[in-house]
Amino acid sequence: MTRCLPNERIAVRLTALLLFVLLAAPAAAQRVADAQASVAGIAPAAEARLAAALDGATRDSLDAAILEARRRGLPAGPLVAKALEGVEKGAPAERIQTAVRAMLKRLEAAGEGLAPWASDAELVAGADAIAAGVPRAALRELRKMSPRRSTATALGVLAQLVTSGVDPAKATDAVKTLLQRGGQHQLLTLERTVNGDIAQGLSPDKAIDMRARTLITGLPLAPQGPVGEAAIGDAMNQSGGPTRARP
Amino acid sequence: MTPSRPALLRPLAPDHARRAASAVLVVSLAASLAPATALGAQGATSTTLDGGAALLSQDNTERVVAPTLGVDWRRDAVRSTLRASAAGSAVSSERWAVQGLGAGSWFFGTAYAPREFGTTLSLLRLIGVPTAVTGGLLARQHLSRGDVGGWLGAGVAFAARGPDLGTVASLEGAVWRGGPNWRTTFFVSTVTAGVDSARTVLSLPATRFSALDVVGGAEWRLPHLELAGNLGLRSSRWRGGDGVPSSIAALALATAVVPLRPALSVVLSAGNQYADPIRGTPAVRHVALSLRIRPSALRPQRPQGPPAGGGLPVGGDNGVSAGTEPAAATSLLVVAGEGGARILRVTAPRNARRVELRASATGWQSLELLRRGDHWEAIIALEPGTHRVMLRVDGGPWLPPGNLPAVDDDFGGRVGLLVVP
Repeated sequence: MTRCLPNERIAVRLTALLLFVLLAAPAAAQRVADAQASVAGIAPAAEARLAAALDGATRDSLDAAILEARRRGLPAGPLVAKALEGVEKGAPAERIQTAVRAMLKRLEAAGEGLAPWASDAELVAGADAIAAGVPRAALRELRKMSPRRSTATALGVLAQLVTSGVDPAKATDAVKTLLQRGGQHQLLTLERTVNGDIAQGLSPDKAIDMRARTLITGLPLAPQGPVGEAAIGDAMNQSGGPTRARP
Repeated sequence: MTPSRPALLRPLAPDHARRAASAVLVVSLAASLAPATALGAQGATSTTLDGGAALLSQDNTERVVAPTLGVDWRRDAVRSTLRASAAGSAVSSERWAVQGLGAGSWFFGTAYAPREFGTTLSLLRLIGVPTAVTGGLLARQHLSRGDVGGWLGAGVAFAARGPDLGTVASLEGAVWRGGPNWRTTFFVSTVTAGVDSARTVLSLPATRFSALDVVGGAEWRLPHLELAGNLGLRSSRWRGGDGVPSSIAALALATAVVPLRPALSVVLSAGNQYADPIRGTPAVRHVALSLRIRPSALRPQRPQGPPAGGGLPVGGDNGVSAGTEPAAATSLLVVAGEGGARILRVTAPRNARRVELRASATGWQSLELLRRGDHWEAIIALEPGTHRVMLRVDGGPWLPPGNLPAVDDDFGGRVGLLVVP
């Protein structure tokens, strides 16, 4: 029967321990990285790309923006996406930092406009709308009209219309009227037809007037005044009552 | 004395009619393997023509070669899809069959959990046999998250042939998983058909056909080849009437589509189909070869959508983003595949060899699209809301799609702004 000598037993144990350390350490490091990424709200795959591409200062700037977003109850995903966009487009570090800060500002503005609550999709759409030139007041009006329903599609269409050259006030009125008349399913049709008219040479404002009128004509009349929580909120505001703060 | 089985549920009598029906079924099966559900920002219409031949084989009959001809029309819109198809086959002037199918689906609710309501109507006409008409309504609740999902559904239908009328009830469920160019589905359904509608209302019909189907399917799309296949088992039972009380049958079907040109593909399919006594189609084995033509790909191409943003000059002081002028020859639609998965469909110049996309939804990593006829597609998870996208054709510059408004990307360039409902 073969027996290990004492020195051999020690060597076996040390080898086993070393193998354990060598194999476990990267896994442990990966788990730590995953945990950090998870805490920061960044998917591990995205974290790996950022770690490989961003310098220390840019990474610190991104982390600060993420922390600020979390403090304000805003999603970190759009900030990470903006950084990744800059990485993939080969942007200089300073440009990425500027873009991330600009995105944070737009998210903050969207959050204020869509208070008291907004989903991540609404915040991103609101940020896009603000970037396109939609005033913050338009976001507040849409929130007021749809206190419980997502405004992401409406904000997206609004952003598209304004980007295409439609006057922000006209675009907002058209979108609001469609929503009031229950025509939310016509929003994308509105954008498509307006852009088609613009491509044919019609001015953006004439296109929105014509197309909105055509769509609205086929919809039922709007109810008089706001309904639901919007009405309650209006009544409370008018009476000086409390308003809900955004979590 | 047990009543004989009503005519509706009896197999077809004439052999030639059965073979012709089999050929029609083959064309329909090959066409139906393509995804038929859609919702998108704009409508998209597609038409395909299939013409070829099928070698058919049934138990106790000689093999026969039957020419086949079929047309399929589809309209994909924001939250609905419409489909109409017709197929015909003629073994001889006295042996022919035609089938028509109309279907529509409407989607409501959120993108991750849409509800689907659909309706179907089909007619099967065989020489010497009363026309079989089936029509039904179905409802499905879909649920998806990223690359996995499933649905539960129920349906009611009627089946009529000559003076006979029966009702059909079905329950179904499925789970699927997919990637950019592949998808697997596991599907279970149970169907019960009964005759004697008066008794169906007041009590269970005396004669009933029930079946439990378990089917696994897979699709795989490569740049120059599409493969699809199904394997299944059916356990069926008769209650009342004559015939085999219960049986188990197997199904196997494989289809390969090889695009030769944007407008022309070769379709090869082989397999077997178990008998469907509700519609009166027999069990059959087949090998079929056909040419598929997409007439839309033959038309002269014109730019899709307006050039967005008025053609702004190249911006940025560091040449970061090459994309500013939109690619007027490209357009991008969002349609939904089965189970609510999102398909990005791009139209590009006809001579394009490679089309890539990158977007906020892909983490701005490049994703190569797969060619399907006269357009390019990729399946990715898209949440409702706004998304920023860019396209690249044949390794050229990254540009916003021609049909989308282009917005500043914060890096001196422009990206397309896509709204997904």
